[in-house]
Amino acid sequence: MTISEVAAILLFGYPLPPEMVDPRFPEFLQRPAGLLLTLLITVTSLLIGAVLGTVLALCRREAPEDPHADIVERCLDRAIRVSAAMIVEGVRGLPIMLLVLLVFHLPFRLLGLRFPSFLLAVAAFSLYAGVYFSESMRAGLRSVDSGMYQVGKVLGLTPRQILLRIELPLIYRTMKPDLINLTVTVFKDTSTLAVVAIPEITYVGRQLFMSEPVNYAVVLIIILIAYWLPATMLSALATRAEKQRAGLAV
Amino acid sequence: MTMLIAAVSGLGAAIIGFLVLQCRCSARGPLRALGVGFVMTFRNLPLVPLLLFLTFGLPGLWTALSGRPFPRGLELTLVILGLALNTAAYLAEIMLAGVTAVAPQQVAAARSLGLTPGAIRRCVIYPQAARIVAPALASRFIHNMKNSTVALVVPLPVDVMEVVGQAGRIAGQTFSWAEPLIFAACVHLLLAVCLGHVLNRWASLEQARIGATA
Repeated sequence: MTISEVAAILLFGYPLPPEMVDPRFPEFLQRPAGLLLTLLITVTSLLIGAVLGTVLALCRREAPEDPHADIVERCLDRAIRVSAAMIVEGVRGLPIMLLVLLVFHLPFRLLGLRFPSFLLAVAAFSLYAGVYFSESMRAGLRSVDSGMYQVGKVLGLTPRQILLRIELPLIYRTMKPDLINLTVTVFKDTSTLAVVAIPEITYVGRQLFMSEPVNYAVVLIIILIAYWLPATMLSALATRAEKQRAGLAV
Repeated sequence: MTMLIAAVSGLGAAIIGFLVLQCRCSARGPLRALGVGFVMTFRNLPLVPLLLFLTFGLPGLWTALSGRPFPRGLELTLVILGLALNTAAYLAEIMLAGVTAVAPQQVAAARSLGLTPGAIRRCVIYPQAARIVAPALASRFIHNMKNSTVALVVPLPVDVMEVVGQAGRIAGQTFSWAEPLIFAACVHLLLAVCLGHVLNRWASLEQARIGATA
């Protein structure tokens, strides 16, 4: 096999047998694999993770003490905060490899539920991304002056409007480098999905090595470059954003 | 075994990271470029393919280039090397941040007191830099411990397997995945919490000393 054939398989996965291809759609959409699947999982789980992270961060937020809240509301508030904290700390304490294994094995072994493996992969990485996103967002929210909240209130904005119109635009710039770094981390860590037979690029490399007379070292070098190039470019972006942030703080 | 792999690779990473820091602070251009290149390379390589490359690809290349068979039994060393290289890149970055955070006036003051460059680094820059970045270093070491689970992609001998690998092996033998995995998760949570506690304590002690000296 030539290098270009190997690279093509690594990027898009093994071609489907012709009788399984639906001619109405492009072939790579029907069974994504290789680097394409890696990117797909990264992007999907970052998007879901952003939503999840926002929810978690808001749950854990120290709300201004409401003097009219009765005891039930206060207990509920405490319960929500503690459970969000437990999710975040629990996931942060686990290595991603273990998290992936848990997400792939526990639902079936304990509850007998089966899901498509793509969904499970996205679930594991959404959880992972969401937790780290929420930590970065929490730090951002803490850096917003509490006077902003009061100003918003005086202007007659609802809490949701204050969050969307005042606080989120303010913390976006402080969060930007962290978010880019999180993207890089998630992108690199999707390689752990190879252990649960998701056909992302690392796994496809293994398949190639098992089925074709190729040099595994060469395949692995191509894989490493495929990870390294986007990651390096994103890291450069992150460094730039960090400099911007430093300029902002001064 | 998780703890041993984590400790050895953490120590190795600290040493390599420090060497890279020396390179990046040096006055010679090529040496500096080498340091930057090292950080850029290993920070942006994912661990799984990296470890696979070290344990599967490297022996193949070795035999192809030198014509001799690759020495056996090096898997554990290579895994630890891979982890150490990865962590070292991050550590070097953190250390550099610490060194640049030390006020340049202090260096100027030390120089005017007649300290040699080596003494300035030893007595003025490094102690302060270490205190400034202690929390970041601590969290990197915890990451390193968590990363040791990636070693399960490499076929290590049974007696040197880390905890998740053991869980997988037991699961393969008994066909029950839930219990070993939950046990491994508990072990990791416990380790992370304990190590986090110890390292954070150390970090806050170091930080308190900045407050005391400032």
